[in-house]
Amino acid sequence: MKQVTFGASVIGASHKLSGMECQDSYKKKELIDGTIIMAVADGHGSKSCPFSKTGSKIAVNTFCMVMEEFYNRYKDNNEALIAYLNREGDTKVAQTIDYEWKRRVLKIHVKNKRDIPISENGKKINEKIYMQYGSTLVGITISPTFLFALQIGDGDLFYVNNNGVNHVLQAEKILGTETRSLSSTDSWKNAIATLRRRDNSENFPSAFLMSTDGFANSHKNANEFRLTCKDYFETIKQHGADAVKKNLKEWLLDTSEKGCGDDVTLLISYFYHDSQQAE
Amino acid sequence: MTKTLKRPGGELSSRPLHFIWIVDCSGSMFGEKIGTVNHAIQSTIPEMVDSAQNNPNAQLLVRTLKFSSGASWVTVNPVDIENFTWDDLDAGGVTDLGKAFDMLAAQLTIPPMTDRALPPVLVLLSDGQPTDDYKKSLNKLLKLPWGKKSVRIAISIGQDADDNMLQEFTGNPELVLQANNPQALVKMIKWASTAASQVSAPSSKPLGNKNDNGSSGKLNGEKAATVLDINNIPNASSIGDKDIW
Repeated sequence: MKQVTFGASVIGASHKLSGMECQDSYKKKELIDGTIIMAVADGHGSKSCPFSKTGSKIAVNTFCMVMEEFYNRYKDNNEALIAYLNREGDTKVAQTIDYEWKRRVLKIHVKNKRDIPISENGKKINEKIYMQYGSTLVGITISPTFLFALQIGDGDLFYVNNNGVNHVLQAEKILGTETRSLSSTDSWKNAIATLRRRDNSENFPSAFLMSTDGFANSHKNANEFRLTCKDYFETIKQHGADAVKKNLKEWLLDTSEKGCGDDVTLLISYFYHDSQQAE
Repeated sequence: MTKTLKRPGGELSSRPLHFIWIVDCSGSMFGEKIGTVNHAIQSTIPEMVDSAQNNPNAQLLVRTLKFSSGASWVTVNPVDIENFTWDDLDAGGVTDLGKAFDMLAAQLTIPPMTDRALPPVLVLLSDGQPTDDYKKSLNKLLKLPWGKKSVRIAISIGQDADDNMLQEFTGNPELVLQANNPQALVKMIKWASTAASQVSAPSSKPLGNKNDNGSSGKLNGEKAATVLDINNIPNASSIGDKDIW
Protein backbone atom coordinates (compact mmCIF):
# COMPACT_ATOMS: atom_id res chain seq x y z
CA MET A 1 0.00 0.00 0.00
CA LYS A 2 1.26 3.50 -0.87
CA GLN A 3 0.05 6.95 -0.02
CA VAL A 4 0.38 10.49 -1.26
CA THR A 5 -0.55 13.49 0.91
CA PHE A 6 -0.94 17.04 -0.33
CA GLY A 7 -2.99 20.15 0.30
CA ALA A 8 -3.49 23.84 -0.29
CA SER A 9 -4.76 26.84 1.57
CA VAL A 10 -6.21 29.93 -0.11
CA ILE A 11 -7.30 33.33 1.06
CA GLY A 12 -11.06 33.82 1.01
CA ALA A 13 -12.59 35.95 -1.72
CA SER A 14 -14.18 38.33 0.77
CA HIS A 15 -11.02 38.46 2.91
CA LYS A 16 -9.11 39.48 -0.19
CA LEU A 17 -11.58 42.32 -0.79
CA SER A 18 -11.21 43.56 2.77
CA GLY A 19 -7.40 43.30 2.74
CA MET A 20 -7.19 40.51 5.32
CA GLU A 21 -4.60 37.73 5.24
CA CYS A 22 -5.49 34.04 5.04
CA GLN A 23 -6.12 32.84 8.61
CA ASP A 24 -6.01 29.10 7.78
CA SER A 25 -2.97 26.84 8.25
CA TYR A 26 -2.18 23.24 7.48
CA LYS A 27 0.67 20.84 8.13
CA LYS A 28 1.56 17.27 7.24
CA LYS A 29 4.30 15.10 8.58
CA GLU A 30 5.39 11.61 7.54
CA LEU A 31 7.16 9.37 10.05
CA ILE A 32 9.73 6.71 9.15
CA ASP A 33 7.23 3.83 9.32
CA GLY A 34 4.88 5.57 6.90
CA THR A 35 2.58 7.05 9.56
CA ILE A 36 1.01 10.31 8.43
CA ILE A 37 0.17 13.10 10.86
CA MET A 38 -1.77 15.98 9.38
CA ALA A 39 -3.83 18.91 10.60
CA VAL A 40 -5.78 21.93 9.42
CA ALA A 41 -6.70 24.95 11.52
CA ASP A 42 -8.89 27.98 10.94
CA GLY A 43 -7.94 31.21 12.72
CA HIS A 44 -11.12 33.07 13.62
CA GLY A 45 -10.35 36.29 11.78
CA SER A 46 -12.84 38.43 13.70
CA LYS A 47 -11.74 41.77 15.17
CA SER A 48 -11.15 40.32 18.61
CA CYS A 49 -8.68 37.78 17.17
CA PRO A 50 -6.01 39.89 15.38
CA PHE A 51 -3.29 37.21 15.61
CA SER A 52 -5.41 34.23 14.63
CA LYS A 53 -3.15 33.38 11.67
CA THR A 54 -0.38 32.78 14.21
CA GLY A 55 -2.91 30.88 16.36
CA SER A 56 -3.78 28.52 13.51
CA LYS A 57 -0.09 27.93 12.70
CA ILE A 58 0.57 27.10 16.33
CA ALA A 59 -2.44 24.76 16.31
CA VAL A 60 -1.23 22.59 13.41
CA ASN A 61 2.35 22.59 14.70
CA THR A 62 1.18 21.61 18.16
CA PHE A 63 -0.97 18.74 16.91
CA CYS A 64 1.84 17.29 14.78
CA MET A 65 4.40 17.67 17.56
CA VAL A 66 2.17 16.20 20.30
CA MET A 67 1.12 13.23 18.17
CA GLU A 68 4.70 12.51 17.13
CA GLU A 69 5.76 12.56 20.76
CA PHE A 70 3.00 10.12 21.74
CA TYR A 71 3.94 7.94 18.81
CA ASN A 72 7.60 7.87 19.76
CA ARG A 73 6.86 7.27 23.44
CA TYR A 74 4.97 4.09 22.55
CA LYS A 75 6.97 3.06 19.50
CA ASP A 76 7.78 -0.36 20.97
CA ASN A 77 4.22 -1.06 22.09
CA ASN A 78 1.67 -0.25 19.42
CA GLU A 79 -1.17 -1.92 21.33
CA ALA A 80 -0.51 0.25 24.37
CA LEU A 81 -0.64 3.36 22.18
CA ILE A 82 -3.93 2.25 20.63
CA ALA A 83 -5.39 1.58 24.07
CA TYR A 84 -4.18 4.94 25.38
CA LEU A 85 -5.53 6.97 22.46
CA ASN A 86 -8.82 5.11 22.62
CA ARG A 87 -9.20 5.75 26.34
CA GLU A 88 -7.69 9.23 26.65
CA GLY A 89 -8.16 10.74 23.19
CA ASP A 90 -10.70 13.38 24.15
CA THR A 91 -9.27 13.89 27.62
CA LYS A 92 -5.52 13.64 28.24
CA VAL A 93 -4.48 13.94 24.59
CA ALA A 94 -6.80 16.90 24.09
CA GLN A 95 -5.57 18.43 27.35
CA THR A 96 -1.98 18.12 26.19
CA ILE A 97 -2.80 19.89 22.93
CA ASP A 98 -4.81 22.60 24.74
CA TYR A 99 -1.96 23.18 27.24
CA GLU A 100 0.77 23.21 24.61
CA TRP A 101 -1.12 25.56 22.27
CA LYS A 102 -1.66 28.04 25.11
CA ARG A 103 1.96 27.76 26.27
CA ARG A 104 3.21 28.54 22.76
CA VAL A 105 0.74 31.42 22.33
CA LEU A 106 1.98 33.08 25.53
CA LYS A 107 5.59 32.58 24.50
CA ILE A 108 5.06 34.18 21.09
CA HIS A 109 2.98 36.99 22.56
CA VAL A 110 5.74 37.91 25.00
CA LYS A 111 8.49 37.45 22.42
CA ASN A 112 6.75 39.91 20.11
CA LYS A 113 6.34 42.40 22.98
CA ARG A 114 2.59 42.62 22.46
CA ASP A 115 0.33 44.28 25.05
CA ILE A 116 -0.33 42.18 28.14
CA PRO A 117 -3.87 42.71 29.47
CA ILE A 118 -3.76 43.33 33.22
CA SER A 119 -6.66 43.01 35.67
CA GLU A 120 -7.54 45.62 38.30
CA ASN A 121 -5.54 43.74 40.89
CA GLY A 122 -2.46 43.71 38.66
CA LYS A 123 -2.68 40.12 37.40
CA LYS A 124 -1.96 39.10 33.82
CA ILE A 125 -5.19 38.05 32.04
CA ASN A 126 -4.01 35.15 29.91
CA GLU A 127 -7.53 34.42 28.60
CA LYS A 128 -7.55 37.75 26.78
CA ILE A 129 -4.24 36.88 25.16
CA TYR A 130 -5.47 33.45 24.01
CA MET A 131 -8.57 35.08 22.54
CA GLN A 132 -6.40 37.18 20.19
CA TYR A 133 -4.96 33.97 18.67
CA GLY A 134 -8.24 32.02 18.51
CA SER A 135 -8.30 29.03 16.16
CA THR A 136 -9.99 25.72 15.49
CA LEU A 137 -8.13 22.44 14.93
CA VAL A 138 -8.79 19.22 13.04
CA GLY A 139 -6.01 16.62 13.09
CA ILE A 140 -5.48 12.98 12.22
CA THR A 141 -2.75 10.39 12.68
CA ILE A 142 -2.92 7.55 10.16
CA SER A 143 -0.61 4.70 11.08
CA PRO A 144 -0.44 1.32 9.32
CA THR A 145 -2.52 -0.17 12.16
CA PHE A 146 -4.86 2.58 13.36
CA LEU A 147 -6.14 6.07 12.78
CA PHE A 148 -6.72 8.63 15.48
CA ALA A 149 -8.56 11.88 14.80
CA LEU A 150 -9.28 14.85 17.03
CA GLN A 151 -11.24 18.04 16.50
CA ILE A 152 -11.87 21.27 18.42
CA GLY A 153 -14.25 23.65 16.64
CA ASP A 154 -15.57 23.49 13.10
CA GLY A 155 -14.06 21.86 10.03
CA ASP A 156 -14.57 18.51 8.31
CA LEU A 157 -12.83 15.17 8.04
CA PHE A 158 -14.16 12.61 5.58
CA TYR A 159 -13.09 9.13 4.55
CA VAL A 160 -13.84 8.34 0.91
CA ASN A 161 -13.53 5.10 -1.00
CA ASN A 162 -15.41 3.32 -3.78
CA ASN A 163 -18.23 2.58 -1.33
CA GLY A 164 -18.97 6.20 -0.53
CA VAL A 165 -18.22 9.17 1.69
CA ASN A 166 -18.25 8.95 5.49
CA HIS A 167 -17.50 11.31 8.33
CA VAL A 168 -14.49 10.29 10.40
CA LEU A 169 -15.48 12.87 12.98
CA GLN A 170 -18.66 14.87 13.14
CA ALA A 171 -18.49 18.07 15.16
CA GLU A 172 -21.64 19.62 16.64
CA LYS A 173 -23.29 22.00 14.18
CA ILE A 174 -23.25 25.54 15.50
CA LEU A 175 -25.37 27.95 13.50
CA GLY A 176 -24.00 31.21 12.15
CA THR A 177 -20.36 32.15 12.31
CA GLU A 178 -19.47 31.00 15.82
CA THR A 179 -17.28 28.02 16.61
CA ARG A 180 -15.60 26.20 19.47
CA SER A 181 -12.06 27.43 19.88
CA LEU A 182 -8.66 26.48 21.27
CA SER A 183 -8.68 29.91 22.90
CA SER A 184 -11.52 29.00 25.28
CA THR A 185 -10.79 28.10 28.88
CA ASP A 186 -10.36 24.30 29.02
CA SER A 187 -10.92 24.03 25.28
CA TRP A 188 -10.14 20.31 25.57
CA LYS A 189 -13.61 19.83 27.07
CA ASN A 190 -15.01 20.67 23.63
CA ALA A 191 -12.75 18.17 21.82
CA ILE A 192 -14.15 15.18 19.99
CA ALA A 193 -11.90 12.26 19.10
CA THR A 194 -12.08 8.84 17.53
CA LEU A 195 -9.78 5.85 17.18
CA ARG A 196 -10.22 3.11 14.61
CA ARG A 197 -8.15 0.07 13.83
CA ARG A 198 -7.02 -0.50 10.27
CA ASP A 199 -6.83 -4.02 8.89
CA ASN A 200 -6.56 -6.04 5.71
CA SER A 201 -10.25 -5.65 4.95
CA GLU A 202 -9.78 -1.95 4.10
CA ASN A 203 -10.68 -1.12 0.51
CA PHE A 204 -8.18 0.75 -1.62
CA PRO A 205 -7.97 3.24 -3.12
CA SER A 206 -9.25 5.44 -0.33
CA ALA A 207 -8.72 9.01 0.81
CA PHE A 208 -8.98 11.19 3.87
CA LEU A 209 -10.16 14.71 3.08
CA MET A 210 -9.65 17.29 5.80
CA SER A 211 -10.88 20.86 5.39
CA THR A 212 -11.63 24.11 7.17
CA ASP A 213 -15.28 25.18 7.30
CA GLY A 214 -14.91 27.55 4.33
CA PHE A 215 -14.93 24.48 2.09
CA ALA A 216 -18.24 23.01 3.32
CA ASN A 217 -19.86 26.44 3.72
CA SER A 218 -19.22 27.19 0.06
CA HIS A 219 -21.58 24.42 -0.99
CA LYS A 220 -25.30 24.74 -1.48
CA ASN A 221 -25.99 22.02 1.07
CA ALA A 222 -24.45 19.00 2.79
CA ASN A 223 -25.25 16.68 -0.12
CA GLU A 224 -23.43 18.89 -2.61
CA PHE A 225 -20.44 18.99 -0.27
CA ARG A 226 -20.31 15.21 -0.02
CA LEU A 227 -20.57 15.03 -3.78
CA THR A 228 -17.50 17.25 -4.00
CA CYS A 229 -15.54 15.01 -1.63
CA LYS A 230 -16.41 11.99 -3.76
CA ASP A 231 -15.54 13.91 -6.91
CA TYR A 232 -12.06 14.85 -5.65
CA PHE A 233 -11.45 11.17 -4.90
CA GLU A 234 -12.64 10.12 -8.36
CA THR A 235 -10.50 12.80 -10.01
CA ILE A 236 -7.38 11.52 -8.24
CA LYS A 237 -8.28 7.98 -9.29
CA GLN A 238 -8.75 9.02 -12.89
CA HIS A 239 -6.08 11.67 -13.41
CA GLY A 240 -3.61 11.06 -10.59
CA ALA A 241 -2.67 13.01 -7.48
CA ASP A 242 -0.17 15.20 -9.32
CA ALA A 243 -2.83 16.60 -11.61
CA VAL A 244 -5.11 17.40 -8.66
CA LYS A 245 -2.23 18.87 -6.69
CA LYS A 246 -1.31 21.21 -9.52
CA ASN A 247 -4.85 22.50 -9.92
CA LEU A 248 -5.87 22.49 -6.27
CA LYS A 249 -5.11 26.11 -5.38
CA GLU A 250 -7.03 27.41 -8.37
CA TRP A 251 -10.01 25.18 -7.58
CA LEU A 252 -10.09 26.32 -3.98
CA LEU A 253 -9.92 29.99 -5.01
CA ASP A 254 -12.84 29.37 -7.34
CA THR A 255 -14.70 27.57 -4.55
CA SER A 256 -14.32 30.50 -2.17
CA GLU A 257 -15.23 33.04 -4.84
CA LYS A 258 -18.41 31.24 -5.90
CA GLY A 259 -19.16 30.13 -2.36
CA CYS A 260 -19.02 31.71 1.08
CA GLY A 261 -15.95 33.92 0.55
CA ASP A 262 -14.10 32.47 3.56
CA ASP A 263 -10.53 31.10 3.52
CA VAL A 264 -10.47 27.52 2.27
CA THR A 265 -8.00 24.76 3.12
CA LEU A 266 -8.10 21.19 1.89
CA LEU A 267 -5.63 18.48 2.81
CA ILE A 268 -5.91 15.07 1.13
CA SER A 269 -4.21 11.82 1.99
CA TYR A 270 -4.77 9.26 -0.78
CA PHE A 271 -4.01 5.55 -0.22
CA TYR A 272 -3.67 3.03 -3.05
CA HIS A 273 -2.28 -0.37 -3.90
CA ASP A 274 1.06 -0.60 -5.68
CA SER A 275 -0.78 -1.62 -8.83
CA GLN A 276 -3.10 1.40 -8.80
CA GLN A 277 -2.46 4.87 -10.20
CA ALA A 278 -1.89 7.87 -7.96
CA GLU A 279 1.00 10.01 -9.14
CA MET B 1 2.87 20.22 -18.59
CA THR B 2 0.03 20.93 -16.15
CA LYS B 3 -3.13 19.03 -16.91
CA THR B 4 -6.05 21.47 -16.83
CA LEU B 5 -9.02 19.75 -15.29
CA LYS B 6 -12.51 20.87 -14.45
CA ARG B 7 -12.94 21.67 -10.76
CA PRO B 8 -14.42 18.62 -9.05
CA GLY B 9 -17.56 19.00 -7.12
CA GLY B 10 -21.15 19.80 -6.41
CA GLU B 11 -23.01 23.06 -6.62
CA LEU B 12 -21.48 26.09 -4.90
CA SER B 13 -23.47 28.89 -3.36
CA SER B 14 -23.06 32.06 -1.33
CA ARG B 15 -24.59 32.00 2.17
CA PRO B 16 -28.13 33.36 2.56
CA LEU B 17 -28.59 36.34 4.87
CA HIS B 18 -32.20 37.07 5.80
CA PHE B 19 -33.07 40.66 6.68
CA ILE B 20 -36.59 41.28 7.99
CA TRP B 21 -38.33 44.61 8.62
CA ILE B 22 -41.06 44.13 11.27
CA VAL B 23 -43.29 47.21 11.21
CA ASP B 24 -45.92 48.34 13.69
CA CYS B 25 -48.88 49.53 11.60
CA SER B 26 -51.29 50.16 14.48
CA GLY B 27 -53.50 53.26 14.57
CA SER B 28 -51.00 55.32 16.59
CA MET B 29 -48.53 55.09 13.67
CA PHE B 30 -51.01 56.88 11.41
CA GLY B 31 -49.84 59.99 9.59
CA GLU B 32 -46.29 61.31 9.82
CA LYS B 33 -44.85 58.25 11.56
CA ILE B 34 -45.85 55.64 8.99
CA GLY B 35 -45.11 58.14 6.23
CA THR B 36 -41.57 58.60 7.51
CA VAL B 37 -41.11 54.82 7.86
CA ASN B 38 -42.26 54.29 4.26
CA HIS B 39 -39.99 57.00 2.90
CA ALA B 40 -36.96 56.05 5.01
CA ILE B 41 -37.00 52.31 4.31
CA GLN B 42 -37.57 52.96 0.62
CA SER B 43 -34.51 55.22 0.60
CA THR B 44 -32.24 52.56 2.17
CA ILE B 45 -32.75 50.12 -0.71
CA PRO B 46 -30.12 51.51 -3.13
CA GLU B 47 -27.47 51.51 -0.39
CA MET B 48 -28.35 47.98 0.64
CA VAL B 49 -28.05 46.92 -3.01
CA ASP B 50 -24.60 48.56 -3.25
CA SER B 51 -23.50 46.97 -0.02
CA ALA B 52 -24.70 43.53 -1.16
CA GLN B 53 -22.84 43.90 -4.45
CA ASN B 54 -19.65 44.56 -2.49
CA ASN B 55 -20.09 41.25 -0.75
CA PRO B 56 -21.04 38.69 -3.39
CA ASN B 57 -20.46 35.86 -0.91
CA ALA B 58 -23.63 36.63 1.03
CA GLN B 59 -27.04 36.50 -0.62
CA LEU B 60 -29.07 39.27 1.00
CA LEU B 61 -32.75 38.31 1.14
CA VAL B 62 -35.24 40.88 2.42
CA ARG B 63 -38.82 40.65 3.68
CA THR B 64 -41.36 42.85 5.42
CA LEU B 65 -43.75 41.74 8.16
CA LYS B 66 -46.46 44.15 9.32
CA PHE B 67 -48.61 43.93 12.41
CA SER B 68 -51.65 45.82 13.70
CA SER B 69 -54.93 43.90 14.19
CA GLY B 70 -53.24 40.62 13.30
CA ALA B 71 -50.00 40.26 11.37
CA SER B 72 -49.11 39.42 7.79
CA TRP B 73 -46.17 39.15 5.44
CA VAL B 74 -46.05 42.03 2.99
CA THR B 75 -43.32 40.15 1.15
CA VAL B 76 -44.62 36.59 0.95
CA ASN B 77 -41.24 34.97 0.18
CA PRO B 78 -37.70 36.21 0.81
CA VAL B 79 -36.63 38.46 -2.07
CA ASP B 80 -33.11 39.18 -3.27
CA ILE B 81 -32.33 42.81 -2.33
CA GLU B 82 -31.89 43.68 -6.00
CA ASN B 83 -35.52 42.73 -6.63
CA PHE B 84 -36.92 44.07 -3.38
CA THR B 85 -39.49 46.86 -3.62
CA TRP B 86 -41.10 48.67 -0.74
CA ASP B 87 -44.90 48.75 -0.74
CA ASP B 88 -46.10 51.72 1.28
CA LEU B 89 -47.78 50.61 4.49
CA ASP B 90 -50.96 52.09 6.01
CA ALA B 91 -51.71 52.36 9.70
CA GLY B 92 -54.83 51.41 11.66
CA GLY B 93 -55.93 48.91 14.29
CA VAL B 94 -54.34 47.53 17.47
CA THR B 95 -50.81 46.22 18.21
CA ASP B 96 -50.80 42.41 17.88
CA LEU B 97 -47.05 42.01 18.27
CA GLY B 98 -47.39 38.45 19.57
CA LYS B 99 -48.93 37.43 16.25
CA ALA B 100 -45.95 38.95 14.43
CA PHE B 101 -43.53 36.97 16.62
CA ASP B 102 -45.49 33.78 15.85
CA MET B 103 -45.22 34.39 12.12
CA LEU B 104 -41.53 35.18 12.46
CA ALA B 105 -40.92 32.00 14.44
CA ALA B 106 -42.55 29.91 11.72
CA GLN B 107 -40.04 31.28 9.21
CA LEU B 108 -36.97 30.93 11.42
CA THR B 109 -37.27 27.17 11.85
CA ILE B 110 -35.16 24.74 9.78
CA PRO B 111 -36.62 24.39 7.13
CA PRO B 112 -37.48 26.86 5.64
CA MET B 113 -34.19 28.30 6.98
CA THR B 114 -31.03 26.33 6.20
CA ASP B 115 -28.31 25.58 8.72
CA ARG B 116 -25.66 27.24 6.55
CA ALA B 117 -27.25 30.69 6.56
CA LEU B 118 -25.67 33.74 8.14
CA PRO B 119 -27.41 35.02 11.29
CA PRO B 120 -30.72 36.64 10.30
CA VAL B 121 -31.21 40.35 11.02
CA LEU B 122 -34.57 41.33 12.55
CA VAL B 123 -35.45 45.03 12.77
CA LEU B 124 -38.57 45.83 14.78
CA LEU B 125 -40.16 49.31 14.57
CA SER B 126 -42.86 50.16 17.10
CA ASP B 127 -44.40 53.20 18.80
CA GLY B 128 -46.65 51.63 21.39
CA GLN B 129 -47.62 48.89 23.79
CA PRO B 130 -48.49 45.41 22.51
CA THR B 131 -52.20 44.69 22.87
CA ASP B 132 -51.87 40.89 22.83
CA ASP B 133 -49.89 38.47 25.00
CA TYR B 134 -46.58 38.83 23.18
CA LYS B 135 -44.36 37.26 25.88
CA LYS B 136 -45.16 33.63 25.12
CA SER B 137 -44.60 34.20 21.40
CA LEU B 138 -41.35 36.08 22.00
CA ASN B 139 -40.06 33.29 24.25
CA LYS B 140 -40.89 30.75 21.57
CA LEU B 141 -39.06 32.84 18.97
CA LEU B 142 -35.97 33.29 21.13
CA LYS B 143 -35.79 29.58 21.92
CA LEU B 144 -35.42 28.65 18.26
CA PRO B 145 -31.81 28.02 17.20
CA TRP B 146 -32.00 30.80 14.61
CA GLY B 147 -34.04 32.96 16.99
CA LYS B 148 -31.18 32.84 19.50
CA LYS B 149 -28.60 33.57 16.84
CA SER B 150 -30.52 36.35 15.14
CA VAL B 151 -29.24 39.91 15.29
CA ARG B 152 -32.12 41.93 16.72
CA ILE B 153 -32.51 45.69 16.53
CA ALA B 154 -35.51 47.72 17.69
CA ILE B 155 -36.45 51.27 16.79
CA SER B 156 -38.51 52.89 19.51
CA ILE B 157 -40.71 55.52 17.88
CA GLY B 158 -41.90 58.28 20.19
CA GLN B 159 -42.11 58.47 23.95
CA ASP B 160 -45.07 56.12 24.29
CA ALA B 161 -43.15 53.15 22.91
CA ASP B 162 -42.67 50.23 25.30
CA ASP B 163 -38.90 50.23 25.67
CA ASN B 164 -38.93 47.37 28.17
CA MET B 165 -40.64 45.14 25.64
CA LEU B 166 -38.27 46.27 22.89
CA GLN B 167 -35.33 45.46 25.15
CA GLU B 168 -36.75 42.00 25.80
CA PHE B 169 -36.75 41.55 22.03
CA THR B 170 -33.19 42.80 21.38
CA GLY B 171 -31.66 41.36 24.56
CA ASN B 172 -29.45 44.43 24.59
CA PRO B 173 -30.51 47.96 25.66
CA GLU B 174 -27.95 49.51 23.32
CA LEU B 175 -29.84 48.08 20.37
CA VAL B 176 -33.09 49.84 21.23
CA LEU B 177 -32.67 52.95 19.10
CA GLN B 178 -34.64 56.06 20.08
CA ALA B 179 -36.48 58.03 17.42
CA ASN B 180 -38.61 60.85 18.79
CA ASN B 181 -38.77 62.94 15.63
CA PRO B 182 -38.80 62.27 11.88
CA GLN B 183 -35.10 63.06 11.36
CA ALA B 184 -34.08 60.61 14.08
CA LEU B 185 -36.36 57.93 12.66
CA VAL B 186 -34.75 58.28 9.23
CA LYS B 187 -31.23 58.04 10.69
CA MET B 188 -32.04 55.04 12.87
CA ILE B 189 -33.65 53.17 9.97
CA LYS B 190 -30.59 53.93 7.87
CA TRP B 191 -28.27 52.63 10.59
CA ALA B 192 -30.32 49.47 11.05
CA SER B 193 -30.13 48.80 7.32
CA THR B 194 -26.31 48.64 7.57
CA ALA B 195 -26.55 45.68 9.96
CA ALA B 196 -26.74 43.32 6.98
CA SER B 197 -23.29 44.26 5.74
CA GLN B 198 -21.87 43.96 9.26
CA VAL B 199 -23.27 40.47 9.71
CA SER B 200 -22.26 39.22 6.27
CA ALA B 201 -18.50 38.84 6.93
CA PRO B 202 -17.58 35.13 6.94
CA SER B 203 -15.01 35.46 9.77
CA SER B 204 -15.74 33.15 12.65
CA LYS B 205 -15.92 34.03 16.32
CA PRO B 206 -15.18 31.89 19.36
CA LEU B 207 -18.12 30.50 21.30
CA GLY B 208 -17.92 29.82 25.03
CA ASN B 209 -17.39 26.33 26.38
CA LYS B 210 -20.24 23.84 26.45
CA ASN B 211 -20.30 24.24 30.21
CA ASP B 212 -20.37 28.01 30.36
CA ASN B 213 -23.49 29.27 28.64
CA GLY B 214 -22.65 27.50 25.41
CA SER B 215 -26.31 26.84 24.92
CA SER B 216 -27.19 30.48 25.30
CA GLY B 217 -25.46 31.35 22.06
CA LYS B 218 -23.56 34.15 23.75
CA LEU B 219 -19.98 34.98 22.85
CA ASN B 220 -17.82 34.34 25.89
CA GLY B 221 -20.09 36.36 28.12
CA GLU B 222 -20.49 39.26 25.69
CA LYS B 223 -23.93 40.23 24.50
CA ALA B 224 -24.70 38.22 21.39
CA ALA B 225 -25.74 41.20 19.35
CA THR B 226 -22.41 42.96 19.80
CA VAL B 227 -21.41 41.41 16.47
CA LEU B 228 -22.61 44.86 15.37
CA ASP B 229 -20.41 47.91 15.73
CA ILE B 230 -22.58 49.84 18.17
CA ASN B 231 -20.13 52.72 18.42
CA ASN B 232 -21.50 54.32 15.28
CA ILE B 233 -25.17 54.29 16.28
CA PRO B 234 -26.43 57.86 15.74
CA ASN B 235 -26.85 59.87 18.95
CA ALA B 236 -30.62 60.32 19.23
CA SER B 237 -30.43 63.40 21.46
CA SER B 238 -28.48 65.37 18.88
CA ILE B 239 -30.83 64.72 15.96
CA GLY B 240 -33.64 67.14 15.09
CA ASP B 241 -34.77 70.29 16.89
CA LYS B 242 -36.93 68.65 19.50
CA ASP B 243 -38.80 65.52 20.47
CA ILE B 244 -42.18 65.88 18.81
CA TRP B 245 -43.53 62.34 19.24
